[in-house]
Amino acid sequence: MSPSEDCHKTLYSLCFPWLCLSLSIQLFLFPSYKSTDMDVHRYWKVLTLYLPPQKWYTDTRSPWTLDYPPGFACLEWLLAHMVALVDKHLFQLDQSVTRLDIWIMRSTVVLCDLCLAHAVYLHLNIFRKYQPEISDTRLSFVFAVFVLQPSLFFVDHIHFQYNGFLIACLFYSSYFFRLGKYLSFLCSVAILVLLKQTFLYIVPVSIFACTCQRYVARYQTKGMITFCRLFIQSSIVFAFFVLLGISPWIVYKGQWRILCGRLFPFHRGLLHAYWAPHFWALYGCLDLFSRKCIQLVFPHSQMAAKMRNITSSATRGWIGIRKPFVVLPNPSPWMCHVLVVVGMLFCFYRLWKKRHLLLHPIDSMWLWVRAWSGVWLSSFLFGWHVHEKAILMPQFCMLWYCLIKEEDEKHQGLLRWWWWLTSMISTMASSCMVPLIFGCLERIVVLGWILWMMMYLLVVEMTWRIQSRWRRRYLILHQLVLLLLLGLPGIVHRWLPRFPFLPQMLLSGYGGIICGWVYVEMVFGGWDE
Amino acid sequence: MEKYQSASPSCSVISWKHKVLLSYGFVILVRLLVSLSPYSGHNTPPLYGDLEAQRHWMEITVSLPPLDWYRQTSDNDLQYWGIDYPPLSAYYSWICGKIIQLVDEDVIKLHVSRGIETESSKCLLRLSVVLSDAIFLLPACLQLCLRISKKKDDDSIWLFVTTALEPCLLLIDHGHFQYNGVSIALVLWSIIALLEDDLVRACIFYTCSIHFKQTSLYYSICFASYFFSKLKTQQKWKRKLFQCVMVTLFVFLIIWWPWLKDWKSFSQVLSRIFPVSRGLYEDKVANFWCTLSPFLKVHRLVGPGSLLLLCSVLTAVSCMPFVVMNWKKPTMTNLLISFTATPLCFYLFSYQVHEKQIILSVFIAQFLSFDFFWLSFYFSLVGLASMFPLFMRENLHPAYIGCCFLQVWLRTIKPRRANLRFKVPFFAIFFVLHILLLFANSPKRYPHMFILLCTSVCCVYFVSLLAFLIWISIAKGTSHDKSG
Repeated sequence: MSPSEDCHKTLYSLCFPWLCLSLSIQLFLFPSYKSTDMDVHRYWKVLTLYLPPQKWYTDTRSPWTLDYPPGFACLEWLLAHMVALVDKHLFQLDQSVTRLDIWIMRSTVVLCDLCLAHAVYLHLNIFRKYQPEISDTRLSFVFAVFVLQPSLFFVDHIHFQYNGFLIACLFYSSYFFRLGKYLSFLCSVAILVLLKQTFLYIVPVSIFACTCQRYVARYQTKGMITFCRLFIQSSIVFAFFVLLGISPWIVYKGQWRILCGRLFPFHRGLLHAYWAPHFWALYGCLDLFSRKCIQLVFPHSQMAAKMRNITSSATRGWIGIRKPFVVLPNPSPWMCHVLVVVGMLFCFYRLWKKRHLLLHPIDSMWLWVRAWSGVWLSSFLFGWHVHEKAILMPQFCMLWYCLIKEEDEKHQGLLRWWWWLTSMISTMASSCMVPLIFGCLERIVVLGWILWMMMYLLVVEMTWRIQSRWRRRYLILHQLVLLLLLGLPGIVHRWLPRFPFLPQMLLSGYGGIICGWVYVEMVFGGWDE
Repeated sequence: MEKYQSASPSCSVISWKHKVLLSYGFVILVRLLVSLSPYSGHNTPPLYGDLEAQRHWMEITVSLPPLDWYRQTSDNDLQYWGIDYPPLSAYYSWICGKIIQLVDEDVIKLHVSRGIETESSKCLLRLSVVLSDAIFLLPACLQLCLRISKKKDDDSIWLFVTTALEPCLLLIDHGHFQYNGVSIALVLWSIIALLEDDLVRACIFYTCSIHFKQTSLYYSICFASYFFSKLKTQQKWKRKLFQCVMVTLFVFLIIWWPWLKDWKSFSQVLSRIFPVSRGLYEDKVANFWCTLSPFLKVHRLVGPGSLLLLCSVLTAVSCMPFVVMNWKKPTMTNLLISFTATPLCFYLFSYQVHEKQIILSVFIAQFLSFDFFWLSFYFSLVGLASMFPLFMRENLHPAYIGCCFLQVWLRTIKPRRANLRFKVPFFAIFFVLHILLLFANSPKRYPHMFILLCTSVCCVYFVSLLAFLIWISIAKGTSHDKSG
């Protein structure tokens, strides 16, 4: 669409085509392979449908115990009741799933993902109201970026999960934040925590931001004590909502302990099966590298002998091992969380400095994006037992930057900044989902999709020459490296069968560098709201 | 891709080459996505389906000499998916087979591989269709779209994506599994050659297309009329005609060479390719005869010989207006209209029709999207619906609905489009039909009632569409303005 014909169309007619395309791709992905996650969610549906709530967390008949908070269990309960209207066969665990069952399971994901489209639509509506100069094409572009993001498709629609719904809830909460509805905002954050425990990472920043907003709105002159009072007030409101949500499980005797054990499995080890591209993956690469060096340089030392015993078990990704590292010190869960909190503090500082902007629905959105994605990135980089899919949260927060207007000359640097960040994190996020995907054709589809995205980014770069020369070169190099790393499993499988985990390790290590870079740019980088 | 075009400052726009690259990639990606669907005959021994047929042909062509391809031998059991496509198709199977052999020999090992359904066999065969589309069909589409829109602008890209994502071909080739893309690509190349007044090249491509799949004969009437009407304007038309005939004969000779040694092997191939004994239509087709069958069983009233004659006469009569239009005014739009309409006539009235042959008409109709924006949209949807019973058997429902959404997407992002005109009654009727087909049990006495109902509604639509096209052709044939 050329800019000349931008006569204001309704937002709905701008978004509708892209929703159609997104739906059609989701439908095309229906017959892709059946993952274990689908069995897990099927079991959870059966569990919530047939057992009373007090037994949800005590049931141990299956290896796939419920390890999401009660809110998510309620979602499963709701979906199970909807599915039960159509297909009873799905709930007979002794029978294997039929094709129809799989379709119905997948259509529940499609249904939940519609919420994401709706949440984005709500936000775009605010943008349209307060910044009418944003062009129609830009709005439809942003909508398309959200509903066609490959990384989400890989996790939700090829693999099987409900991340789109979680992201949608996150956006609903930010919607309330922009509009300054404190109570709804705190309630929605409580719901988020009840949906998934990883949302605990954003609780401090949510309460802090909410307090800042209230402070600026009414009590600006009254000083720090008032601020502290407001903070405590907000915390109490938040805690009230959370406690309300889990009250049934507190009332029943002994449930509390089980719930905590299920939700915070620190015994599962620092690293997830497929190493997420975060700091600890890089640390692990470093550890392995130094171990090899020691073995090469001092083959007869005591340490090398000790290492030789460990190596056999360690080359396959250290799943569930409390102390995976040999040379470098092993962090405890406490260490990890201290690092996460330190990483978050910078975001808090920035939010406090810019607090006067929190009242405007547009500026507050940019503050929200920056603070939240900073916090997410910090938790992703340093967290304990982080899954690779956790990168979706910072990625989707940062995608909002595609709406920043940069038409005039002086914002050229801004364009450079956000385009760099979003393209880096998007390519990284979709690449690190690839190891999750099995099946020959599915892999080809996924690689083709990533290739298309890279092609698009390169074409944009060639046309507008957004980045400076070195960064442009690096962008090309980055994509080549990613492609190489994605192709590596095939090569290793054929010629280096001794190192099955090598490609994954290199990909995660490289991803750790990129995500760290994005975090630094995000927190300390060059744009002032 | 239109969607990302003005993502960034509007000082300069993405160059044409890059847009083509991106849309090309996107179109291939959608093909790969559709390829994930179950194929025809998935997991249904002993005969399996079209994927097994194509794989079996590769197995036969790679392992046996050409003379044995079409006849019953100890190695080639014609009862089990014997080759019934013309020789060029068999050669193409041979090429694909050779390439697949390089990657994984087990997929097409003689005798042993029968009914093989491994991950790699599925993957390789699916990729072979996607690649042949990428090599043959998409370049032809792009060329023709450029000719139609005359400018290298967004509209031409849109037309390219629309034609390349034509839902019937997408689902039949990449869902059900066939190589229709190649034969249609050859027809498109011959159309392009006709538009360039290069009659010799047009003949070559058209002959090749017929030898790839015999259904391309459906285009023959309009091809001939346009061809002769162009020929008569040429200065040395006799010489030109001679050249064309010689070239056609030459192509014919090359393709048929292995079977020309004696009459018996030649006639054996012919009888494989044109199985007249197979009846008026197969399964439930949305054509005239099948729709008439609940009221009047024509093939019981009339003998097979006169039935064939009746079919031919009806087809020829319905094609007449387009022949006249092409003869009088051989313009590009008229050519495309006639290439849409005559396969439709054949589909409706001729002998031995499959439900898949509606593709030939629907695909060319997409090239008319500029002049007949909504017609091509509804035609593609109805064409898709007429094959729904087939897709239902093969568990292609998700891809089917996905294709419908894809069509809606294409029509709503059209730059500078006509007003949104989604006809509620149309969608309501088809929605009810699909619900009936999916969930209702048909009465015991008429087990195919709902399928027949669906195809009849589609047939009514096709007939009215044909009437509309005839009206257009008469209007165009008699009007005197030169714009066409």
